Amino acid sequence: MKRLPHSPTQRIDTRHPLPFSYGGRLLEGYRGDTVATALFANGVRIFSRSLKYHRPRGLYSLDGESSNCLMEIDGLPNMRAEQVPLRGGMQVRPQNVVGSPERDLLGFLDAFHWAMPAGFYYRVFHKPYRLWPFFQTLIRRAAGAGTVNPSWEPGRYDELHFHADVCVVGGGPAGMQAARAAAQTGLRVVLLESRPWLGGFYDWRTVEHHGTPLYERGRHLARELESLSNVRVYTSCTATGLYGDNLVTAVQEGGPDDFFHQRYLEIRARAVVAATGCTERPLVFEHNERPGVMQPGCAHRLARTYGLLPGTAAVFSVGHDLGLEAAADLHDQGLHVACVADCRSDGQDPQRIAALEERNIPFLRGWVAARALGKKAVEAVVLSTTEGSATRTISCDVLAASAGLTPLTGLFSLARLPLSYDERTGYFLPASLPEGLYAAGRLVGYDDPASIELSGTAAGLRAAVHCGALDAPRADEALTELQDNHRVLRGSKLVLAPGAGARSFVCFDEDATVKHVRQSVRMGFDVPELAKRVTAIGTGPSQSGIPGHNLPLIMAHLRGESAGTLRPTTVRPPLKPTLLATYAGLHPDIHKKTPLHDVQERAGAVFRRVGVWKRARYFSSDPTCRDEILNVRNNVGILDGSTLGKFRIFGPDAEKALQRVYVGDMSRVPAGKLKYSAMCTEDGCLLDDGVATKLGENDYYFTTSTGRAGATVEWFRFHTRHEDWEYYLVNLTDSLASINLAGPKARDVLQQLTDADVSNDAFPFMGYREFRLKGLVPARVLRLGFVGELSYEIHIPSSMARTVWQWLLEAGRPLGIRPFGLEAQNVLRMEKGHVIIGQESEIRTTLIDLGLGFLWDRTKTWAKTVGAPALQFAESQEGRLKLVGFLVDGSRPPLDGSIVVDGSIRGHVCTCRYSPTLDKAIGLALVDDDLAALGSRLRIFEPGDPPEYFDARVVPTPFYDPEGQRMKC
Amino acid sequence: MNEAYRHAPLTLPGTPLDQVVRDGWNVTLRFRDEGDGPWIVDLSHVPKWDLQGSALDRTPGLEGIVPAQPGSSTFHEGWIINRLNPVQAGLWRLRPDAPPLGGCPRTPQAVTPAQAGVHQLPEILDPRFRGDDEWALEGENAPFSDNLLAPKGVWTTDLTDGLVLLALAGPGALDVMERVASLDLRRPDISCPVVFQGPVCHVPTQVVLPRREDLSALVLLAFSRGYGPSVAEALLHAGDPLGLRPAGEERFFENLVSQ
Amino acid sequence: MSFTITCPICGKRDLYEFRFGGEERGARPDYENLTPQNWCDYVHLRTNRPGPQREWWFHRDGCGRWFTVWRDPMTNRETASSEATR
Repeated sequence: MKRLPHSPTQRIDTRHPLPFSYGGRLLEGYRGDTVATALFANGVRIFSRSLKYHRPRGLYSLDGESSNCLMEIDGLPNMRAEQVPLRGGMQVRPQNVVGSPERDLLGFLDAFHWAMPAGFYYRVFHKPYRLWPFFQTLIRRAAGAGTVNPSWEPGRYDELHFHADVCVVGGGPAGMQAARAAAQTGLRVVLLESRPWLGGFYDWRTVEHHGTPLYERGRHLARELESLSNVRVYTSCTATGLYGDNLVTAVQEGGPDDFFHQRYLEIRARAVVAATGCTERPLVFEHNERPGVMQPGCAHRLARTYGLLPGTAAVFSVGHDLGLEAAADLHDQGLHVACVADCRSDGQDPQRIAALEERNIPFLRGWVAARALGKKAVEAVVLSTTEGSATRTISCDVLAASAGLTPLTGLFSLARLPLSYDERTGYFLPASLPEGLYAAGRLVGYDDPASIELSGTAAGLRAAVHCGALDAPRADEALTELQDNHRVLRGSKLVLAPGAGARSFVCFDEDATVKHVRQSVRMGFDVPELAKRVTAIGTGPSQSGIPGHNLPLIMAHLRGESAGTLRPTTVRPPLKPTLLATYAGLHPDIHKKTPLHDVQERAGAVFRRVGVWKRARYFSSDPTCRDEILNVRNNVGILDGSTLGKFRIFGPDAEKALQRVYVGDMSRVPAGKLKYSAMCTEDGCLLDDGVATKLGENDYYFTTSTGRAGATVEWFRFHTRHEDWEYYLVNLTDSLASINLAGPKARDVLQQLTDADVSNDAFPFMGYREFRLKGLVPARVLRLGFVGELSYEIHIPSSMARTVWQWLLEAGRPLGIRPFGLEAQNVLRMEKGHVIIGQESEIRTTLIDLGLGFLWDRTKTWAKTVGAPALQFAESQEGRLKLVGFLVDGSRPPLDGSIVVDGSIRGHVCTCRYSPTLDKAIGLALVDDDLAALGSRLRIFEPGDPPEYFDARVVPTPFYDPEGQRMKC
Repeated sequence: MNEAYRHAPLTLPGTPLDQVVRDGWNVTLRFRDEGDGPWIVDLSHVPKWDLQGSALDRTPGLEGIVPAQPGSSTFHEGWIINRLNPVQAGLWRLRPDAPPLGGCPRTPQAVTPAQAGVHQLPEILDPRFRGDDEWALEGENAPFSDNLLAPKGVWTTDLTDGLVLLALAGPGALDVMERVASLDLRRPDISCPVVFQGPVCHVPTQVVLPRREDLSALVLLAFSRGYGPSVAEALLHAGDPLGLRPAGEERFFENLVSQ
Repeated sequence: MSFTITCPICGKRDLYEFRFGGEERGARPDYENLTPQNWCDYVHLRTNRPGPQREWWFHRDGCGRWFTVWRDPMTNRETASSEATR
């Protein structure tokens, strides 16, 4: 199809043709086209078939109010072809059709529309219920739009987070003036515009204002704005969310020169100006969604922006002067305009009427389109007076129809502002705006360029006052001028064309008609929120783009009530459908690695996430870790314990702070020795455990579990927040690596790395020493016994950890040293009956339940230790769970988490393994206290397919080396 | 020991052209193909100390050097000092040739058990040792002069190994930051050098800005060592479309030049 | 949900940088003569008035300090300036 001769309003570049494919055909468009306009230029008129009835649908609007143009583009389903810029090589395919949009084999469904009333989804297909699975499969196949391609490659998604003083949403004349006014005070301004260029509704208009065509004025304002260094302009960028404290989210489409496909923006603004303008309120009449029916603005822009005549013969049915202007201008562009009907009986701009008269275009005042004729496209229209007293039928292939304007109030809905009806404009708008949110332009009802621009300036100035960059009187001046000398428009109040009924579509997306709304009201669902849910109006991909403000007007009309009685329903973010990949954005996998990660990886470690860390679980393909375990029992092993929490606490009140959070008496923490203690929650439940030692006067070093390390400083500070204590904490968890050297030959290995005396007399169990390894690396060494063998926990500066690890491996090689991982450690410590917090305890398990009550010093009430009162009260409670050791009858251990039962649930298995050391299946469980006696029989239920039962009995712990000789030697 | 026996928390991708061993670290001075910026430099080997106490501003030897206002940073003879809150500051020795912070007393002695043959270490994490048998308590590598006992109320702890330190430098450095943090680094009402404390790539970070002109910004990021590899990878990924490339220490000092 | 909290050290930041520490209800009670009931009340009960309250917040992703603000949970806005603790 040939394009109209070039005019300065056009945004296409005919020097750059772009080939693309559509449904197997090779077609061509131009740079600047959208996919929809390129298809239109190639004669495509039926773009899709509707959801339920498979009615043909055409190009209705250019801004995505309907889902008529949803297509699969380059493998992505549900793309709005009218908003996707054309790129060379694009693959475009229609959706939701069997065959083609022109000849869809499911088109017959439309004839059965009478069988699908409002709410029929809820009432049919499930009586009798056994038929439902059958219908469910059918419906799923027939319904929905588009197919997801699981092997689609996401590409690149960018994200930006920044701050601004004023965020202006909408780059039309009001938005541009608001941005300019705010920017001139020196504030940081950001302007978001959905279309690929600034200009709003000036962009395609040749009518003049003060001697300048509007499109020129728009481009001039845009150039000025883009040159200001304190203004950031984002086009092809739609605001999708507005959250508390003016957090604005937006999504930007990547252009041909951008490295991203879509970009997510998150902007924290001090003030927001909404200047989102209006769309055209759909006219509701019989067959109002036939291909060929379109918004008057769409018809106008096809010609002026894209150089395409919308058809050969047009009829206009309008509710606003823009429609009159479009008719005259399109006539000048070569379109035969057979008739212009205006549903308003008066109030038109005399110049617009004169323009029609000059062109001999018949003009009917108080008339409206009542019925579109034609099966697959408009062939003629029946015009009627608004009362229905007379009709006229006129042939046409384009019907430019609208009932007037509707403000785009999405942002107000997101800000949870209740909308109320304004009698003059016929708009639903918020009665008042909160501080920091301003509105301007056509959105609030201004209609002529002077008012629109002045309202923008006023809003920008008020935003500047809010940000403290301007004195209030300056802004008040503009506001007063606006209020005194400018009026908002008197909007069209037409709700329905006469005779609107079973084929008058209120929502294109969901194929819902006026008849469905009537049925809904009759069923008692007589407010928009309920009607929406039973008819599905507004729940489609365009989220109320078409029904919008029409639904409450129509319902009030059908109920016989005045226009403002009912309100539009809420819309929710994102205002524009957004790819999940855009929200995922850069999505880095942020985690922590220990200083020994790489050496362990090279040694064959298999890693698992433990909280934020990656830790080595085992070093071979044997998940039972038998060799690793036995090596620790018989030789010596090394484990990376670097994730362990390590802290320095110092200051005159350090001891008081320790007494507050630890249940033990921390007043005599010795130098050279380790004191083991625990922290509880205020409910007395075990939170953390660790050891502490004294480094100097008012100076201590203590450890915590891996999982609690990140919250330790927070915990201390929270529980001392009312005290006036002077103490300081340094988190050394990452500064120091920790290597656990464990096994009967551990001393032999360590001895080779230091001159210090590490004999049992010089360095006994629970001792703490500092010395250098190989005369170089400073080490803090702790003798503990978590795995129940002679072991040294060696804390060294993280940067030196790899070096020390290699030294240990070299020194231990002739002794059989091997690294071991978390799973082996798990079994080893379980054999000793040692507790892992979160494994043997739940959030409701107290210290006493675990048999660790001896850690608690009950005499230090002056310290107000966290959780101590609860321990006292829980001590004598009955019916609590207790931690016990058990021996399974048989060699297969039940899974962790299996349940202890005897008619009811009596506890659960915390950890259970086959112990290679003891050649038995043993475990630890939390059970009701009446089952905790030694010798009690336990019956264990392991869920599974099929589930299994185990028998066990309670035995004493530790299972291995009960006297603890091995770790104290 | 002249070989490197200390390892950095992360390895930037790229081919090092020029390296030197310093204090046990293998420091890359230049990479191949560093490009025109923005650059990312690993400075994790830089010595860093935590300083906490009730009278920081009046610490002998540090009077007038530790900034009074939390959120402020100052440069002092090759050091950068960040005031984090009323009772805490960070001291980073950016230049390897920076003189000791004069007159500042050393930390208190650690008490060790009276065991024969056990060396007494005054500051367990002090990297001032040079691999000899004795600590280098004096001389040009001592960060503090070896005099005086610590005055009551001032305590230092070595955090060299605990914090990763990365620098983003050159044109576009702030644009990279906009993709990984929602901190308002460009706010007009503050003066550099400044320190922000907030999440970068969701990790709590100290963000020091010596300079933030769009064409020559310099951003220092300090955060917990364990996060080093994943945050560096995230920064490189976010900065890739903007031309972010790894660079060596020389590039960092070029960008630091006015300080 | 999204609102901001003003940290006395770092200034106004996103909600998600912080952890909520609950209503300010005064210092820890004396441990002498405590009953399970008054201990439970101290640990778990809150006033829950629909109006501005003084609350503790921790700047987890930032300076790592505890402080209080006055905030109205009905609007999620701070109502008076915040103060720091040690």
